[in-house]
Amino acid sequence: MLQKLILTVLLLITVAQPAQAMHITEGLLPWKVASFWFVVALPFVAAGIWQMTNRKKLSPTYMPMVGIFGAAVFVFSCLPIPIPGIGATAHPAGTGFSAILLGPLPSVVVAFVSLLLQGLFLAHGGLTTLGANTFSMGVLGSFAGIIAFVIARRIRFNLFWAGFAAGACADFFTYLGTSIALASGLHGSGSLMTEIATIFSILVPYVVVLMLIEGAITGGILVYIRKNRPDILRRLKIIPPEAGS
Amino acid sequence: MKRLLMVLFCFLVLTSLASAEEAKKEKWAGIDEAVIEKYATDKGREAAEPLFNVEGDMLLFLFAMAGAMGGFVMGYYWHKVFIMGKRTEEGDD
Repeated sequence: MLQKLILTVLLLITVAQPAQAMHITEGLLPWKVASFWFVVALPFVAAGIWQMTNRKKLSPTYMPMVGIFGAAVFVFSCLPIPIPGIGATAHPAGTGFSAILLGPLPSVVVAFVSLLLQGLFLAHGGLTTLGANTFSMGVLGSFAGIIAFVIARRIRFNLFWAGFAAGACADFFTYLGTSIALASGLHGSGSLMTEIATIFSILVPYVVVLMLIEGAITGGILVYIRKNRPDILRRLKIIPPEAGS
Repeated sequence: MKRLLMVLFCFLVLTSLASAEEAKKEKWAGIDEAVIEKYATDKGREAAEPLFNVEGDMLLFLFAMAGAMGGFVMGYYWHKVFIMGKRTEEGDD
């Protein structure tokens, strides 16, 4: 009961305020650049839908997991986290845990749907910049998260710290992707790499705080699942078959 | 683990309360406004109006609804997987 109360209060306090966070706003990218990012992101979305359709046939818990972590990505990516010392807010991505638990491609779909809803109804991000935002949060965030998780497990990090690495890397690469997408539309005749470095260097102080928060949350979720439904992690081959709860 | 979650919870609550207070002073802008839009404007690129331009308390209402709906969906499936699913799993064992 107390946990439910805490969660409700947390959601009301943190979510019920308009988030102006990291998505690239409507109209900031020239249409050619915006179209390019759609072309890059849409094959991942299509492959993700195909993979989701297949996975739901194989596991009865898959679609409920999509419900949980899809909603979590949506809420996370609207959640303005105040960055102390800077006086601004930024939001985590949530694609670290969705990539681990749903797969990186379905995680791109989840990010795409979240960004579409936010662009349509919450004046957050935009429709013309949906491709670029899907590339940064969905594609780069998800794949960076799962790659970091796999590497961390191979070098024998425990579940919490491997999850921490996934959450932290997902955020880092999401913001790097935002810098790449924005720089691609704004560099003009200047160097693209310099533009990316300039934008990313401004974002770094925000990213560091978010990495710590999202890392802790991702690690915590995995530990919770191992404690309560270890069979899910066994099925995903995240923990060995003999590992108990 | 519980301690870590409690620390995180307290951090979020305190910083969010601080955020609400600071918002009155027109601080705590999001980084898309404070960094990304500002950077683009300096480069001569202005943001366009969103398709549905919601402002003021309407935007607050939509964010509250989005948070509530997201929380409801998350909670519903969480219960299905981690409460009901756990009972079924234990029943099978």
